[in-house]
Amino acid sequence: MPPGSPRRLFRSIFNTQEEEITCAMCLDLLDIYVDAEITGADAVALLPYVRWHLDCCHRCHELYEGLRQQADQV
Amino acid sequence: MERSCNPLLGPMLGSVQMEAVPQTRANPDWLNALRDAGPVQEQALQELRGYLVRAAVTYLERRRGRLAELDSADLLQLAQDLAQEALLEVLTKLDAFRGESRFTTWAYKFVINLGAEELRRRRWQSVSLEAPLPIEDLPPLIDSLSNRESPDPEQALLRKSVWETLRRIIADDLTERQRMALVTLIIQDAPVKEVAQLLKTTSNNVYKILHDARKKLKRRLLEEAITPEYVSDLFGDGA
Repeated sequence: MPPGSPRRLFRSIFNTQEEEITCAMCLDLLDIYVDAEITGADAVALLPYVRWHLDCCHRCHELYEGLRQQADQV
Repeated sequence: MERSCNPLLGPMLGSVQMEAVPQTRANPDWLNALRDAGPVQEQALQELRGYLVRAAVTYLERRRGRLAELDSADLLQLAQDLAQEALLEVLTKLDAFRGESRFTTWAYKFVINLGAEELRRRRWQSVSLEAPLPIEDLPPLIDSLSNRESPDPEQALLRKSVWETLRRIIADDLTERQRMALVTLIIQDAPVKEVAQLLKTTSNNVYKILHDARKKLKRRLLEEAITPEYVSDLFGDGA
């Protein structure tokens, strides 16, 4: 999603949860989340707060995509 | 033997000993070797550096459009610089590795985060955040950036109504700091460190300010009967 796109803006608003983790917390757990996905585990059930954060934070979502692409290759 | 098919790395091996990289180590092997000394540690460092450089090259190449001013040699140099910085972070934070993921995935996280921040920083080198965007400029900015002018007059009117509602909510319900966080981070995609500096606070607190803003916006939009489904239909590409 390009910066400033309506999709990004409204996505970040409507996916907001009452309680959320910060970007630092999300980054701290992102490798666990990605490897859980790759191994076929239920990453969302394992780390729901990470999933919710990725749903409303485009920066962390970009990191997730980059990490997932790279981790898939190993 | 692992080989790279990346054309960028092919003719420019330099210190990246692609041909000599063995198979991935198990987590304990990584930790023990990196905490060791002498040739054992040196070998592990070389391997890890190789992984990180490859990850950085792949990450940057996939975002080549944002680095148009760099030729292949410059891009490889940037990747190597990012990998070196990531390597230092990995070594510093070795004790923080939980062992609940592959060591390489954990290590990749550092170089990709550095890469993302570097791309954002380059894009914003010449932009000043000293003068926050006036709220009145918000809708045209969004429309111009997203190139979403609707040819359908009725749809254009409905969109305009949504933007006006959003603008009113932002002006009436958000604090100045919340407005600044929302505009700079989500719409202008500024680096967090710059926004933290502008707001004279920490990066973590910037996130909290933005979170509070988003919660208010979500509640108020729903009160105005502007739902995710309605916005998705109106803007045509799923919000």
